Amino acid sequence: MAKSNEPLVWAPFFAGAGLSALLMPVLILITLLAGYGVVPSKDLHGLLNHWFVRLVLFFLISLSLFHAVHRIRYILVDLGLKVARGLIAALCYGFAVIGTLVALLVATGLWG
Amino acid sequence: MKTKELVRSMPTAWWLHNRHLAKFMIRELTSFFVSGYAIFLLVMIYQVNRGGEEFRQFYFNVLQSGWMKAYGWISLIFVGFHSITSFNAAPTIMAPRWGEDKIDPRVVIAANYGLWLIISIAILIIVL
Amino acid sequence: MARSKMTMPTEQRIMTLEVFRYLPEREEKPRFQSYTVPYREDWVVLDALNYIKDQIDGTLSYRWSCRMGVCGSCGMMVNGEPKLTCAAFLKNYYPNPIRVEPLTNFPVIRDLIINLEDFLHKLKELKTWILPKEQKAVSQGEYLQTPEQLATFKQFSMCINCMLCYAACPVYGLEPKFLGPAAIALAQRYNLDSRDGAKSERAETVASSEGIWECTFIGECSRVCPKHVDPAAAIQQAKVINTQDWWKSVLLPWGKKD
Repeated sequence: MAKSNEPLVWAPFFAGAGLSALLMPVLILITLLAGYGVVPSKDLHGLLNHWFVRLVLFFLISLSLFHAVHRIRYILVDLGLKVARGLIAALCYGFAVIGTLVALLVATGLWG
Repeated sequence: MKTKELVRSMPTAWWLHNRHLAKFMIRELTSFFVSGYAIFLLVMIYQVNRGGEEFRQFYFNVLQSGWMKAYGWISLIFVGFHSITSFNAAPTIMAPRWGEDKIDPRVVIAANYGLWLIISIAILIIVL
Repeated sequence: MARSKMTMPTEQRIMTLEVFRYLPEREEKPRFQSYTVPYREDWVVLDALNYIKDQIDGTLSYRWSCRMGVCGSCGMMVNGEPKLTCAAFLKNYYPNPIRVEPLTNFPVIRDLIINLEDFLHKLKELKTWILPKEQKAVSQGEYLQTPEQLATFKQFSMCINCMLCYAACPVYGLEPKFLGPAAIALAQRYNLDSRDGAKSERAETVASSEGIWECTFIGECSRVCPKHVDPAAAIQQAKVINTQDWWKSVLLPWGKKD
């Protein structure tokens, strides 16, 4: 049994857990408030254009994705998945990597 | 004489065996809603990049739609549960100690919730 | 005159035990056998099993020893929950029947007796004993340790090897190669001991994909542990330490290996 390289993905998983736990609930609440018109479109637009907001959201999006795909991968394992575990892992973390790249493009304004 | 050992198989729905295991599975499933909102944030920033008019369309047609609001409430519950289970697990993972004594886990949990509250209120004040 | 349960003399109250039987030299398949035992307020399930073996059916086989929760021999499934039968009081189940089965996730040799070779093998693999940082001759005196240093690992040293945690762990059920809660907690006990110097030796096994990284922090192990060892804590803490070590070795490869 050799030492695993799991820490590579466990670090962003753990960081994503903390960040999403602290930030997501209030952000979802704000999104809902916007949905009910309490936060007007202009304000939301301005907030999402601010560089600091984008910086924080970039990290939130990226690390939350790594957190989520790691958990989803292990849900499959816990439900009995034994075959193609390497492939599943690659697909899961690959998705998070792609999501991070998209977040980078979008946050820097290069896309959209 | 060596007799044949009995190997018992594990039921596929093992996580329904008791309420702790069911709670575990729900805790894990919250990750779908965490990734869901992360993707939603991505889409929202993308819409901002597309310009004022496009964003207004997104705001009125998507953000304010009944479906989105319903999904938002469900998300809030699941992501909230994710937060709660994460904070409750903090003392187990960190095991902070003050010299020889173990810091009361309730203090660690309270500190987590406190931080959560402060950050959430601060963000709300800034936004509203 | 009708008598309520409350006024019935204690000697006349009874309980039913449905006990798992597996007699491979006679029957291919396992079955349950029902026994009626007297109900005594101070009895535990182990007392009921001993009564059955003494008075009703001498063929029933099971392990037990200290009958006071320190030897770890009498672990069994009581109504689907892993428990030390010397610590499961009849009065918590009365008047309903109690189902007694061998610990889940282990092969059954006979009746309530499981094969625990796998666990013993893992303990050996993890070198769950002190491998001193510095070898000292007896004449040089004791290895000194402050109360603070003891406090870092003391909780994990309380394990009595009862294996209730293995019975409770779905990951072990799904993957028998998983090192499991008790073994990892014990490895941590030695890794954290200031006198020990074998952390990197154990890391090959502990930090493997069948070690801490197979665990998905379900937490059942700590819930059922009769000695409050909290093996789940040991494993998650090991994950944090291993992650820090891994990233340090990647980002600072010239760093000191410890």
